[in-house]
Amino acid sequence: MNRRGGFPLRGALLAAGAALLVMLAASWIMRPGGTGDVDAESSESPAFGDLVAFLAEPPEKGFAEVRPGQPIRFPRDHGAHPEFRQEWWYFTGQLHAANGRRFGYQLTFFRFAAGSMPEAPRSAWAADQSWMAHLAITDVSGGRFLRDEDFARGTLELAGATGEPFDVWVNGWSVRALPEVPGCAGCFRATLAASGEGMELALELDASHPPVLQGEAGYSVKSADGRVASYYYSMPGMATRGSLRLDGELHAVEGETWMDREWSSAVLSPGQSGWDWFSLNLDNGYKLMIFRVREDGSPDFLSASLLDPEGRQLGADSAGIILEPVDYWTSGETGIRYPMAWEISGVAPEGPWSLELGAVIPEQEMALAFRYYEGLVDVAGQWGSDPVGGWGYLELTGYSIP
Amino acid sequence: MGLVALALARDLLRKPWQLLLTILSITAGVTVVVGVDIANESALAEFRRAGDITAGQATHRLTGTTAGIPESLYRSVRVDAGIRLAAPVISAEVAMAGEPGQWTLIGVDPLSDFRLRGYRFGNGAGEESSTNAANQAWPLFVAAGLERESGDELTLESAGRRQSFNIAGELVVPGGDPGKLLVTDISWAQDFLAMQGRISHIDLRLSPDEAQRLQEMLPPEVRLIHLGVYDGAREDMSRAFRINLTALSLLALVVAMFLVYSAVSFQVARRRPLLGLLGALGVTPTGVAMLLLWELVVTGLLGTMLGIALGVFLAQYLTALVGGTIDALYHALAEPPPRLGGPTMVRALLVGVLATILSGLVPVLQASRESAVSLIRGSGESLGMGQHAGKLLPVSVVLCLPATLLLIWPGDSLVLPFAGLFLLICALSLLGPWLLRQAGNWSARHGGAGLVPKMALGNASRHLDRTGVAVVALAVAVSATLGVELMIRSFRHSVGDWLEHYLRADIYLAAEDAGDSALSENYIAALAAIPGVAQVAAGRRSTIATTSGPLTVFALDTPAEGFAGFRVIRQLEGNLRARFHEDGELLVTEPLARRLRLEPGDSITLPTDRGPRPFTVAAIYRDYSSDRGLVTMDWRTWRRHYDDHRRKSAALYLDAGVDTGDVMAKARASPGAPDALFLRANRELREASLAVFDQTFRITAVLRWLAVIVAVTGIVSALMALLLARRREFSMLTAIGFSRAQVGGLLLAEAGIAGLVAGLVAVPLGMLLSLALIRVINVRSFGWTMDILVDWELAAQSVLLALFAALVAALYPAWRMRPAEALEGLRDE
Repeated sequence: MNRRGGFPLRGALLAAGAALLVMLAASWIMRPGGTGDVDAESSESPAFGDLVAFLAEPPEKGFAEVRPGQPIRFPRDHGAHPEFRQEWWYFTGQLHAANGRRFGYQLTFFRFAAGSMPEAPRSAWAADQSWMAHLAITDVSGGRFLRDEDFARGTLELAGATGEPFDVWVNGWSVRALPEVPGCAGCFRATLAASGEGMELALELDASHPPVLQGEAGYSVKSADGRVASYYYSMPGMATRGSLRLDGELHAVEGETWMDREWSSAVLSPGQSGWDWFSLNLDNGYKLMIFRVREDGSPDFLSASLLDPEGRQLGADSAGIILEPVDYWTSGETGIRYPMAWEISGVAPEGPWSLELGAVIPEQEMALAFRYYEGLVDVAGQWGSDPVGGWGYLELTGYSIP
Repeated sequence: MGLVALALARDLLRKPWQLLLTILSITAGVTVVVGVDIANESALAEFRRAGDITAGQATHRLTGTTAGIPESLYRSVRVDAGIRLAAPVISAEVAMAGEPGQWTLIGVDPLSDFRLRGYRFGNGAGEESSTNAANQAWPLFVAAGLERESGDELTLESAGRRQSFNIAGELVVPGGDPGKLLVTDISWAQDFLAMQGRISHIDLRLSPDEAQRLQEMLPPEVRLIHLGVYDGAREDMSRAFRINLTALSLLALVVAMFLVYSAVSFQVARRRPLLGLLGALGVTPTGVAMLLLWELVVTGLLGTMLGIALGVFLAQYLTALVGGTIDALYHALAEPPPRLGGPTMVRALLVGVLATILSGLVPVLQASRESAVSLIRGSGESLGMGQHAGKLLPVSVVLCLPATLLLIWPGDSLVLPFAGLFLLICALSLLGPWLLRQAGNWSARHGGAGLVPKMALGNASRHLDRTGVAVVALAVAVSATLGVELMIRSFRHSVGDWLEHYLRADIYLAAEDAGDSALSENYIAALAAIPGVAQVAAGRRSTIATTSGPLTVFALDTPAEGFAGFRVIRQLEGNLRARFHEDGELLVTEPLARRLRLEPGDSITLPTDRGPRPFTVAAIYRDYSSDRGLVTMDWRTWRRHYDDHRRKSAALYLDAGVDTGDVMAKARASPGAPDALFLRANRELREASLAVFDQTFRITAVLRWLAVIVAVTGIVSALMALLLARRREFSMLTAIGFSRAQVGGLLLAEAGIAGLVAGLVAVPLGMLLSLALIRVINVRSFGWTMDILVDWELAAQSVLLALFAALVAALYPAWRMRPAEALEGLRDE
């Protein structure tokens, strides 16, 4: 057994190697963690997918259709319309603190009607409406953008909207009218409360001008063939004051809020990829609302409305309005490329106007369960023969990764 | 130096069997330690995971007493208090048609749940499904495996209700396997479980401020509990059990260390000529020692690695046992998969290598110090136990003192008494060699008996360093076996006794439908109406969530005869039955009294449906049904404070001479009987309970036998070493006419004597062990006291076991005693 001079090195090494392999094999088989840990970081928000894809689904049977000529009454129609498929209450605004700091904010409540269910459970938790809310604050001086979202099912008073009194809420976020007689039908004074990740808003909104019906008395079409439309009204120019807390720091603020309200059962027709929406508040008192629905292979559909300093609706010649994106920003988070600076021009009774608007900070993307861009913009340009400035909000939907 | 190392290594590998023996000795010990470690860690990890899966990121829970909480509370929490991280849950144990066991059905609101639990719902094609995809009726999300097996539908059962659910997709749970979890929307769960208006609890993630705010707005019957407490309670539950197991496994390691000692001594002894040669060639003693130590390290590493691999395989078996035991005692666990974690491997490596070095240290150091000449000659006996035999008795006695101190040190620690126990084992097992030496001396001084026995005794006594170690190892293994077995028998006897005393009724029944099933009042009335039934005592056992963990409350109305079944240990003065029945005072079990430090007369606050209420403890009684302990109250007391008056179990007291089987048949057939009815006659129930007991202790039986096997392996190597050391002697014997059989017989006789001595020492040691286990370890681990049973038959068996083991171990070495070896021994001369 002793090979001459042969130290059984190979044998020994083989034995040792075999033992090591056995041990390694055993430990690999038995490794903790098992197979495939689920990536838990995506539990930040349930992935509902793209807003536009959802909204472009053809209207299902069972939802009410939007028709021209339907009267919109206040305060009743401030409330929810559950027979329509979707609906929202959009609050955007600009706020200034005493120390000169400037903020933008957005609080939106969405309602979606669930599809018809074959059989409903005998339970108070059964809901045929689901609600979602978005909250965002733009800290201009700090160059930061915070956003958050919340969800609720539409039962057990967890979420809802009523017209009389005007009240809209999703869990703890709400806009509730104060109990007093309004100065006009549809006017109100309300408290707005919302607190999310690192931010808190407590504002009082004073809507002292009656709602502005968009389109034809609120019937707002979204495509040239008129097949898709919504009921749409706005309440710009609400005086706002209150407090804003950002990362522990409390600011007393005041400013102005623009509320947008829409409900419908379809928002886009097939082929339409998304829209760009602008709400602009100019120093000279004029307020401009423009939206453009983008369509592949067809001319975009554009609609606009103009309010004079007294709040009267002037005809806005949509055909004459030109929108030109001039600068883009690519989101690091989603990879989507958004146009956040624009040149727009048109013609008003005072004469032609041209404005340049740009996002105060580029990062104002709502990368939540639904992805879109909603940001505070600075406005500067010419109104007729006079220079003009202002602020506004820009909303971009349907842009995808290039 | 490299050349020297090579020389040593080559020599080592020339006789690979001996090397293998050393390696295997360590392997044996490490295998058991690793196996138990993995089993424990897996069970613990499973406990934690099961808790994490259901609680997720939640830090708190809003919970009620017996019937959940009102669903409107959720709105108060979310809308009024503005708490953002809150999720409502409806949860229940259900049964699945065609599958055994219980499943956990959880109804959640996905819109609020995702922040806390992070469950994902696939739609079967592996994609995410939106909340709208669960638009089909009765949607159910299940683990992937179950989804594959079951197809489209599953029928669930709870409390007599059956419902077919549609499998809507796969349930993906962060961090592992969903196991027996079934998830549906909270609305469907509420419908199925008929819990309209109520939910089970609300899970929350709260900052301390929010917790404070919430606390202030709660109705009295709702409690905000901190989930961390629950995790602790859950771990506590099995901690004692796991510590006991670890102690047993360490015992195996200690025995293994003895083996390594003898194996290494044997190795060293065999290589003495070579070592002497090296010394003569100029290698320093330190050099020799270092080389040998390095060999030890390598051997230790190899043995440990092999031990880890084998331990992993052993763990498969052990984990099933441990998990099964914990499952049986502490509630549903999915079967824990054994995991070899980093910490386990590191522990095993340290333990294995360290143990090898420690055990081999003494012979190595001794060999390195001997002179080259004596080594080559092989004439010297290695110094060791033989030389220090005189010190055995005093050392043993001295060690007993700290051992006893550790055992009786007051407090709750389990580690101290176990340490004391090990010390005691070490101390008293040293009496074995001492006894052997005394016996040898005695036989040398007195005549009598034949030549062979006298020689055997003399030899055994003289070669104490070999035989002594074998005796100690065997004594330790056998005494441990005896001690644990005595404890288990005492325990079983006490349990049997308790059952007999406690189960006074003739027939016991309980509603066994899955979920929250109960015996209807109509049914209970029908039972009372059965001819032959003298009395029906009905009650319920509920688990109530308190801020310091779950508490079991047993509420029953029992006749005087049944009340006499409580084996009261301490009580307040006066009529106990009146205190219980009229004054609403409580009886608590020993484990609970110990855990909460209660004495009769103390007050305990329990959460009730009217808010927290103080109750007086009237007595403490002995009860083995749960180591968490329980509180027993009269049914009237329960009714006063709690709203759920459904009774879940009943006991029937029959008139004299009535046929039990007849009444049982009538009970099953009575109107209102639940579909699944647990129905047992008194004796059946007792036997079934004892069967559970036996099943629980199966694992200790396995470990005990492992310890014995380890000991026997060691004795083989000890005797082999003996053989080698006494080659010259045996060859002389052969030369003067002893036949091979006689020499073999001599060896067997020596082994037999060693075994006998080991057995004799093992008996008192084992008894002391069982005393320590019963009086200290068991009481601190589980809170139970029990009567001590002395089983002399078992003691005698242990002596025989030691003897037999030693003889079996001696067979191989005796057979190896060949003439060629004898001549070789002579040649040296």
